[in-house]
Amino acid sequence: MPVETLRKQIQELETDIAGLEEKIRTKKAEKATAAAQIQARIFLERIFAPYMDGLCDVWGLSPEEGLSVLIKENVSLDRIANDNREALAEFLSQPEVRVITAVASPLGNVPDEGIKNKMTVLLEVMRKIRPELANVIINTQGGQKWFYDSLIGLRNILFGRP
Amino acid sequence: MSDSKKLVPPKGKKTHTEMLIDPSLSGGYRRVRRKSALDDEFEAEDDMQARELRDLRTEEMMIKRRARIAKLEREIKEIEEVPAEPKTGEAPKIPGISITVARQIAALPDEERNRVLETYLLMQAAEAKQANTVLPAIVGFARANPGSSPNQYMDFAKAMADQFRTGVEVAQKMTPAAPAPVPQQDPWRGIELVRDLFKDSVKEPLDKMTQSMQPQTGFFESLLMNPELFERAKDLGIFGSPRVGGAGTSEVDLRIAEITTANQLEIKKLDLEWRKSLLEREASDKKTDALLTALAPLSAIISGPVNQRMRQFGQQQASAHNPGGPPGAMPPPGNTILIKCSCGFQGPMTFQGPPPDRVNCPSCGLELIVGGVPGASGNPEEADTGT
Repeated sequence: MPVETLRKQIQELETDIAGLEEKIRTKKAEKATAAAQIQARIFLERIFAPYMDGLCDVWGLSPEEGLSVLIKENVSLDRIANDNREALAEFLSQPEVRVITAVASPLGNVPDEGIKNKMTVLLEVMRKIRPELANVIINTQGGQKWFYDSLIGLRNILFGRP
Repeated sequence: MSDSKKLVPPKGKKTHTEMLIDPSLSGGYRRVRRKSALDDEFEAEDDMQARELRDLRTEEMMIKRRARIAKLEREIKEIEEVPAEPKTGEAPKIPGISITVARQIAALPDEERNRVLETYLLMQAAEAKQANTVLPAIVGFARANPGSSPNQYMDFAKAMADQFRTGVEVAQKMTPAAPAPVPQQDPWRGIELVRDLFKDSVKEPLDKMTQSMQPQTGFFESLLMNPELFERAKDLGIFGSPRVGGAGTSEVDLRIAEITTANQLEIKKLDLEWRKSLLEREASDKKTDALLTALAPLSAIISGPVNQRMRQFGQQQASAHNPGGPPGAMPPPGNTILIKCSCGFQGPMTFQGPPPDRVNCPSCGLELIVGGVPGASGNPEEADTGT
């Protein structure tokens, strides 16, 4: 085959490959975003929100009020959990809890730096499904730091990171 | 039919026939008698007579043989006494016929065979040497022309003999300076003659032919064997590695470079095609999509129990922490009831005001009566009020 023809074919192949690589990158990013959002949604709906609801049930506060108090007192969620270790151990031994932590593990195997990115995604999703809670975290001073600390603590409790 | 069946005995399994003979008919039983002295005497006499008879026969045979020997000796004596007659006639004719020709003659039909033999005898009578020479031709004539007359046979034989004679004469005339006739009594001379003849007519031409058939040294061999020519060829780039800037670097170099580039491009093209196929497969991979699609329904399936567990866990943890007060102090819980459902759910439920009469189980959604007691009345669940 003539050299010029080969060069032309190679150029076309390289163009096709570049297009495919871009397509794969975009698709991977979309999938990662979708997966992160799904995990975030599951985490918020199945873990964070019920936990806050349970706390506030006992305290006689609305979730927004309870969340605001916790932020102001800088009491992270894991700290509360660690105050009652027996209940925590019993809770973690429940099969459905183990399933949900395995499925929705946005915090699992994520370093502290990665938690910040996860927190952004979680807040975005929270603004869609629980906007009142998201507003409290975003608008209250120290809210995002409290959320970050709470996520790290929950990661350590729920996903086995010390 | 039935009577005949009864009379005929059943046939046995014997495969042979037995016959019983009355002893009175067969001569009765042979009596066993002991050997007496008279018997011995008789036997001795018989032996003696037999011996005498044998001796007589032997003597008769010997007399006959002697008579025959005497007769033979007499005949030999007569033969020896007869004087040998001088051999006046011709020596016995030994036909110089080969076995092959004899077989061919024997294979001929009787008529042809007789005519061939007659012709041969006639020819032999005229010219003995030529008769043997032309005999195979006569046999061939007989096989090719069956039914020919004796005259035709004779004419053919004469013609063949004439041809043979003419051929010999021509050959003798064409042989220049023929050597002296080889004496028959010197076989070594004949061998030498044959050797010279072989050497001149066969060996030398064969040697020349063999020499011409030997592989000749080719161009490249002579090039490699001669250092000067080798260096010169190297300079010219005949071996494909011409020196830089040499005379032979233009066309060959370009051609080699072109082929090398084409090969490299072919390899690169194959590599790119393989990579493209991998990327296409990766781009059309649906496994992650399926996983993401399955994640949400899976979460929904366990959402009820997990939500309740999480909420219950929060309530348990809340008792250990009092926001705005010292840790461990329980905040006012409000109106909280403890739910015990037949689905296994057990946990508190808090209301801002007084709890309603009926609530739904957070886990299975079953309607429960607040303040009721779980009993055997058929009610699926009952709930009791909390604090």
